[in-house]
Parts: sequence; C-alpha cells; structure tokens
Amino acid sequence: MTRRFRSLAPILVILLLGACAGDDKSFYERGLNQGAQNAAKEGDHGEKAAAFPFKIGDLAPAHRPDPKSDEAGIWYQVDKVERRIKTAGERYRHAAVNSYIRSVTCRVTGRYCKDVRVYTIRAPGLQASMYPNGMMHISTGLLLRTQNEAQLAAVIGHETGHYLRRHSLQRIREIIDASNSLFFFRVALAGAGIPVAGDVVTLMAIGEMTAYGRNHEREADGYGLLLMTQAGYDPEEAWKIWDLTLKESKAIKKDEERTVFFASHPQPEERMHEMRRLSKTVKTADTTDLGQDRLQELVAPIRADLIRDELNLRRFDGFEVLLDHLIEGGQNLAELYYFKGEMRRLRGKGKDFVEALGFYDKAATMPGTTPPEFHRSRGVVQRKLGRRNAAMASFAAYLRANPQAADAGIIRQLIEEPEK
Amino acid sequence: MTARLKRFAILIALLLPLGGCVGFTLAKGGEPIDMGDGVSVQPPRDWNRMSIGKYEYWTLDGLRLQNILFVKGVEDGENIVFRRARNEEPEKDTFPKFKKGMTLLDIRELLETTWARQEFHRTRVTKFGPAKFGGRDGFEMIFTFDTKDGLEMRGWAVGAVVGERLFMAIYRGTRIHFYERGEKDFRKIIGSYRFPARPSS
Repeated sequence: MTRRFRSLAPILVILLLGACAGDDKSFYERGLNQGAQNAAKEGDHGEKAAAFPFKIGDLAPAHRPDPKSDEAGIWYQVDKVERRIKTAGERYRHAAVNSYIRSVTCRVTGRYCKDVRVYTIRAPGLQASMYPNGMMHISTGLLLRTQNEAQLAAVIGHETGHYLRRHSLQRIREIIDASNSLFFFRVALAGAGIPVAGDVVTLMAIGEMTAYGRNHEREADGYGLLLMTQAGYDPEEAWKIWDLTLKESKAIKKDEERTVFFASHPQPEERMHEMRRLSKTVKTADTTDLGQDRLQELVAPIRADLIRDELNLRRFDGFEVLLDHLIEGGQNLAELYYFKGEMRRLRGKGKDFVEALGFYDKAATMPGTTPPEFHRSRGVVQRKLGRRNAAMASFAAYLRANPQAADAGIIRQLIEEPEK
Repeated sequence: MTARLKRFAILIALLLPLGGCVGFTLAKGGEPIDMGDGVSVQPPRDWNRMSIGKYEYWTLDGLRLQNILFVKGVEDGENIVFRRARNEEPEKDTFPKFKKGMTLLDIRELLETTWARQEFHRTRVTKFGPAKFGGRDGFEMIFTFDTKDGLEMRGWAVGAVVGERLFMAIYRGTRIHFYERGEKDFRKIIGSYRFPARPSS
C-alpha cells in the first residue's frame, strides 16, 4: 500500500463524519454553564448536560463501566496502554515533579482526584491528552511553557473536562456509528495499511480531527475554566497558553505541521478570544491564585534539560519564539542567553557563530547560572572563529568547573592541539 | 508432485516471507569479514549480520537484546540513521547531520541528539574520550540509556573520521545479561577493525 493512500485514510473517515456536526462556538459556554449548574446541584459530573444528541450516562467518582458495555471494552484496551506507560522509557521519573503535579491535579479535580491519573512524559512541545479510563498524559514541554501554576491548572482542568464529559468515548462511538460497525472500520484500516492493534488510540487520534472533536475542545476549555476557578486559580491565565502556542506555530514554517495542528483543534485565535471573554465572567475576589513561585521553583533546576529537549528538534524558528517568551518571564537569564547562543552554534549558518559568541558573552554578564557545558560551547565557537587563546581559556574554565567531566580527555586534547 | 518435491515446496513457501524482512547472513567466527571500502573485521565467533547500504547490524541473540551497529563512511550532510529510501520517514530529514570538519565534541553531540530523536531515554555518557579506531585517531564513548519500553541498556561506541567520512561501531545491549554476553566479542571485533592503507574518500 502506498504511503499516500495510507495518509488519505484518516481524511476519508473525517469526510465521512463531516456531515455529522458543525463547528459551534457556543460549546465554550455550554462547558462552563452546564458544568457550573451541575456542580451547584449535585457535583460536576455532567449528568444533566445534554450538549450532544446522544445520551451519556452519569460518571460518578470511582466510576467503572458496566463490564458488558462497549465502554468496558474500550477501557480494557486503554488499561493495557496504561500498564505499558507505567514502566515506559519516556515516563518522567522525577519525584518532586510528579508529586507536585499530583497535588495540582487533586486541587483541580476535587472528588475525582483518584480517578484522574496523570503521567508526565519526557517530551518537547506542548502536549496533553486524556484517555477514557482517566489516564492523562502531559509533556515536560508543557511545564516549560506554563508561566505559573494557574496555567498548568487550566490545562489539567481542560483534560479533566474531556474525562468528565467522556469525550473520547463519544468520539469513538461516533466513528464506529459513522462507519457502520467497528468491523467495517477495522477492515478499512487494515486495507489502508494501518495496524489494527492500537484500535482505540488510532480511533482517538482520528476522532480529534472531526468537527465533533473541535466542539469537544471548546467544551473542555469551558470545563477547564470552571474547574480551575472552583479551585481558586485565576481564570484569566488560561488563554495565555494559547498566545504562546499561536506564536510558536506561526514560527514553524513547515505548512504540513501547522495543518495537522489546526485540523485537530479550534483556531488558537478563537480559543484565546473566547477564553479571555469567559474568564472575566467567572473571576471573583477569591479566584486570584497564580502559584507562580511554586511552579518556577519546581521547574528551575530541570529547565535546562527541558530546553535541550526542544533544541534537539532543530526547529530553530519555533525555538527562538519559546526562548523569547521565557526571557520575558525573566527567570535565570544567564541560562536563556546561553541557549540563544546554543541555537546559533547548532544552526551554524551565515553569521551564526559570531552571533552565538555574542550571546555567550551576554550570558556571562546576566544574572543567574549557566549550565555546566557553557564554557565548552563558548570554547567550541571561539575555536571555530579562530580565536585560539580565548578558546583555550574557555576549555580550561570548563575543566576547572567540571573536573570529572566525561569528555575531559577530549577537551585536554583540544587544549594541547598545536597551532595551525 | 512427489512427496519430496512437495516438502521442498512447503519449505520454500515458509522461507520466502522470512527472506523479505530479515536478510541476515552469517559472519563466521575466526574469519576476516569484508565490510566494504576495504574495511575488514574478524569476529571471535559466529554473529548474525545484516547489511543495509552504509549501515550494518550484527547480533548474537536478537537486535533488541544486543547489537553492533557499524556506520560505514557517512559523508558530509548526511545524518547517521538508517532509512530504506530517501522519501521514507521524512521526519528523519530534520535529524542532525554529520558535517566535514566536525570536532569529536560535535560528533558526541550528533550521537546524543540522534539518539534522543530516536526515543532513547535518560542517556548518560560516563566517558567520552580520545581512542584509536582501526589504527586511526578517533573516539570512544561509554553510555547507558533506557529504551521506549523502559528496558535499561548499556552502550560502547568507537569511531573515527577518515577521509572526511565518519566510521563507527556502536555496541548496545540490555544491562542485564545480553550486554555482557557480547562485550568481549565487541572488544575483539573493534581490535581487529582495519581501514585500508589508503582510505578511499
């Protein structure tokens, strides 16, 4: 089967579903209002919320689906994914980070605290996803991008909204209905060369690209605002994450990557505008917590690692936007200017080395601390620019600061290298 | 069809699908193995060998348990990951590339970033130092990492830039059992690694 046909298959499914639903901005408010009404009456579990034409039952805390239902079958498959992720290499095993995220999650989800299990995944980029059984994944790239705990709470609240409204179950059912039967769907997938093993995950991914998926995003945004506000966070922080996302995605020049992002989510401009508008309607004198110090204290010691992950993608334009955003935040500027230099050193085009050296020099004068590799990188660039004495001094400084460095032997070799 | 012919036909039918996807041959122990470009090595015992263009995988027990990856003469502007065809796996276009004139520090960075993009996790380099490879000045790197499935791995890489091309032998195996099982062999294999007297460039 050709690659082109394989990539067409999801689009065919989306076309098939296209007639089912249209984009509807009122879903932001539906999420917020219906959630609020339910919360006032009987706790927020979306029982009375009939935002979608098909009936979704109650989802009480500690919910497990009826073993005879299709939902149980879907949970069973996702439970298998969860067992894998528990020991997976990409899981971020950092006790302080995981316990912090646990506490924010419990604050946001309230009595659903035990039902929502967050797994932090070591990965660049802003990624968060919710599975039907209450498993949530968030990327370390999200921690890098949130300026305060309130913004993190907004994302966790948004994903929890997907869980409470059982969006992934709805989407999976929609796709199965639209394609007449799961059997038909499996045959179609297999025919298109898509492995059938990861059924549920594939269905979820495809489901996100439908108009239903976009309305789910809108509704979850509303729930996110509701949950974070109930937990006492400042709702006016929620839209700010989209501001950065928008700038980053505009900087990524490859059209392909942008199209995929915008197909699966409402336009960030729309989300920003709606979230900003609604946040003003729910904010009260009691909902002002930002938790900026708490988040920044947590991220500070791991931030260089997370920035390095982003740089590994070699998407230099988007990376620069992210760095400028972090520089605006003003935390440890020495580290951030070091990475401005790193980006240019790694791109290595035109005046990049000269500019890189400029940023390394700037980093040396800025408040904060540079990572241990600082002197090494500076030495490498000075050497490339033919500034031998400066390079030798930088390499010597690197060895003084890191006498046990794994690459000390190579550095000594560079220091002793005869002049050309 | 005679019974014998039938048995033969069944055997062929069973083997045909295997041939398409595996393609292992035997690297016979104690004999010099021609790696192309005039490069040769001599394994102390039999290894399974799979050669794909500039890359060659060897294993004793299975690629996921332990393998040697030989990188044979990567040129300026090429990345260091195997791909079947240029238009396959387009994301690999954004992997970092080898450039002529790279220092050993640059090559370390090339390796670490490539592995991060290939979803090796928690990579820790415990040693990266100068070393001879095939009689040439090169590098040696000792490291550990976790696979996507959470398996703990150990690794030992050696390499050198010869005639502006990058040659490497990278040995990786599970921390438990399989790394150790092939470690002595790898030491002998890289000890026997020979470039031709005049490298083609």
